Amino acid sequence: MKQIAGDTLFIDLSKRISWREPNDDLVRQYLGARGINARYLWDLYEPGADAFGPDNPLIFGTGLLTGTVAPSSGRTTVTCLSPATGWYLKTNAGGHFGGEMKYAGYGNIVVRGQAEEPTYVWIDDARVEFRDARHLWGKDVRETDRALKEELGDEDIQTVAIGPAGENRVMFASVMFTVYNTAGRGGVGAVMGSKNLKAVAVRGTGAVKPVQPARFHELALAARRSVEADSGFEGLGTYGTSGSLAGVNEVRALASYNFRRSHIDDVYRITGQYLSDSGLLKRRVACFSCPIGCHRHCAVGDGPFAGSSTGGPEYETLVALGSGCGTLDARAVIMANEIANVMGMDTISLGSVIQWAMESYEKGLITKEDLDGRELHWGDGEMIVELARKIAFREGFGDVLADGVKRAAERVGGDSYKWAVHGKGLEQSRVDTRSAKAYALAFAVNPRGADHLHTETFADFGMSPEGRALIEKITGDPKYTAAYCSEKRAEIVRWHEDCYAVTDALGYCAFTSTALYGVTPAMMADIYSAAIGIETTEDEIMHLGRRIVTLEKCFNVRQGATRADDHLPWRLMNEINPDRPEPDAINSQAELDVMLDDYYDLHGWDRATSWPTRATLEAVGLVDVGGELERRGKLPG
Amino acid sequence: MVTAMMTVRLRFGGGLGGTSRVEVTDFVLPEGTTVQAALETLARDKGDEVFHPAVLVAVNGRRIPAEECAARTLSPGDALTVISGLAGG
Repeated sequence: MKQIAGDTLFIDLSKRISWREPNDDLVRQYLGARGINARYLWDLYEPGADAFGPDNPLIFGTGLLTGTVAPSSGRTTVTCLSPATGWYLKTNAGGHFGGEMKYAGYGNIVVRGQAEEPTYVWIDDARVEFRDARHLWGKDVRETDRALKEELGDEDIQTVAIGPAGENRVMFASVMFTVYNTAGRGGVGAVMGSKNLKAVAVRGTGAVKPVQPARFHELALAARRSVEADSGFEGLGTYGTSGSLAGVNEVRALASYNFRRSHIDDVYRITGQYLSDSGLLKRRVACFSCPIGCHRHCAVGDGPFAGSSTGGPEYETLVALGSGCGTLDARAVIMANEIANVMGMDTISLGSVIQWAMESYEKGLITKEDLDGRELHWGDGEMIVELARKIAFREGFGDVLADGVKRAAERVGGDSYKWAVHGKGLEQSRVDTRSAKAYALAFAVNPRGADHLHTETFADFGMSPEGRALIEKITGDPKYTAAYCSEKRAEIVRWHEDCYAVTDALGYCAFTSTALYGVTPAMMADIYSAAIGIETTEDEIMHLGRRIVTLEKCFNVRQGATRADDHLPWRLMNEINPDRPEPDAINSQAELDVMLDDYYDLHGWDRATSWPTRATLEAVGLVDVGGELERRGKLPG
Repeated sequence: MVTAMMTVRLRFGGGLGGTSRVEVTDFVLPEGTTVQAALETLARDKGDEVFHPAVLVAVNGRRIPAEECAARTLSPGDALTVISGLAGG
C-alpha cells in the first residue's frame, strides 16, 4: 500500500528537522488527503493554541489516488485551524503539486513550529532541506515560483507559496499551488506566513503503484469514460465553471450587489461564454490527470486593464469581483483576479469585503476620508483593483478590509453587520441561498463557514439529467429536484457530505462526482479496493466519508461550537430576495431550524447542542474522539 | 373566433440556438399556452434541442421539470427561460 499512499513527512520549522512515518493505518481509517489531515489536526492541535502560533499545524494531504491515471485525481487538501473563523479549516487545490509530492514519496506533509527567519523547504525525493527565503520575502507568487525554479535549476519542480498577503497575515490569504491553483479559503496563507514559511518546492521521481495494477487501470479508464459521457462534460471543459453563471442567474441565485440582487438582466459579459467569444480566453488549462480541463487562462489586450493576464477567472471570482461589486466588466475582474493570485488572496473573500465596503460607503458609514480621498461606488473597476492591492499590503483602509468582513463590520459599527455576508466568520460563496435551500443548509452546517466547497449540492438546481437522477436516488422522488424546496434537504446534504468527503480524500476533483456525476461512490469504492488491495463496498466507503465529516464536526465541538453557530448571514435570514419576491425567498430561522433538526437527526447528533452522541461516535469508529469530548464535557447527556 | 394573445419574455440561448448570450425577446403566444406548447412552438423555429434533457426550462426563475411542462400555464408577462444548463461552480 505504501507505494500508492506515500508516507507522512513531518517538518518542524522551529527545530529545522524533518522525519517520515508510514500512514497505512490512516489510509484504512481515513482514506487520504482531507481525511488523514483531519485526524492529524485533531491529534496535534491543542485547544486554545493561537492560529498564528507554532502549535497550529499546517497540513498538506494529497489524495490516495493522486499521481495515478484516475481521472481528475490530482487534488491536494490543506488543513489547519482557521485564523479567520477560529474553526476547522480545510481548503483544497488542483494543479500538479500533489502528483509531484506523491512521486517524492509523500501522501501528507505536516508542518509545525515557526521558523526564525523566512524559510522555504526544498523536498527533492527523500532529501528535505530548510533554505533561506529572506530574498523571496516580499515577492509575489509568480516571482517566487520563477525564482525557485531558477535557484533550484529545475523547471519541473512544483511549488506552493504565499504572496505578500500571506506575509501580512491577511485573513483571507491563500496558499497558491504553482501560481494559479488556489487553496483559497479561511486564511490558510496567513497561517503559512505566520510560520515564516514562504514556500515549499518539491520534485519527485518515484512511482505510484496500486496494489492491484491491472484492475486499477481498468477502473480508472472506466471512470474516465464515465466522466466524459456526462452531459455536462463538454460544457464544463468549453466554458469552465463560469459557463454555469447564466443558469444560476436564471434561477435567481446569482449573488450580485452584495446579495441585494440575485438576477442581472444581461449577465453575458461576465460569463464563460463571453470569455470565449470575446477572445479574452487564451487557453484552457487542465490539472493533473484531468480530462475536463475547466481551468482558464485569460488576458486583456486593450482598455484600461490592458496587459493583465491570469489563471481564471472562475465562476466565484466573476461573481465576487464582478456582479457582486456591480460591474459586468470582465477585464476589470481579470485584473483584480491577477492581483489576488499573485498577492495570494482568496477571490471570494476579497470580493465580499469590497462589496461590503461599497455598500457601507453608499450608506455613509465609510467616507472619502477613510479611502484616502477616493470615492467608492458600485461598478468602479479601478477602485476594485486599487482596493485589492491595498488589502494585500494592509495599506490605508485596506488594513481594515484585510481582517475580513466580520471584523471590518465590528470595527466600522452601525448596521454594517447586516450586510456583512458571512457564516462563522467566513465570507459566503456567491450563491444566493434564498433561492437554493440545500445550499442554505449545507452552508449553515459547514464546519469551515458559509461556503460551497465542503458539500456542493449543485444537483439541486436540476440543470442536468444526471443531477436530477441523483436527487431522485437520494430522496426517492424526482419532485425534490427543486432548489426552492426546503423538504428533504437534510438527506440531500448528508449524502453530498459523505460523497464529497470520499471524493476529497481520494484526491478526485469534486466536479467528477458532485457537478458532473461520472464517478459514483460505488466506482470510488472499487478503485479504492484496487488501490490498497482491501475489498471495500460503496456503503463502507461512504461510512468512511461519514467518519471524516463527523471528525471535522468534533473538532469544532471541541473548539466550543454549538447549534447557534450553524447559521446563515443576517441579510439572507432577514431580507427577502428582491428578484424573487415570494414568501419562500428567504432563509428564515424557522425554516432553517426544521432543516437543522432533520439534519442532526440523520447524523445522530443532539438537536439541542448539535453535538454527536456517544452512540454515533461509536458507530462511525470515533470512540477515542468521544472519550476526549466527554472529558471536556462536550458529549450530550 | 379570435384567439386572445399574450406576450411573455423569452430568455433563450446560453449555448442553445447558436447563441451563447441569453437573448431576451417578446414571445407572443395564445393566452393559456402551457410551457410544453410554448416549447413546441419554439422548437419549430430553434430546433428540437430545446427538448434536450440538459436544457434548463424555468418560469420566473423557477425551474419547471419536464413532466410538469404540460400542466404549467403561462401568464402574460412571465419570463420563460430556455437555456443550456451547464455544470460547475
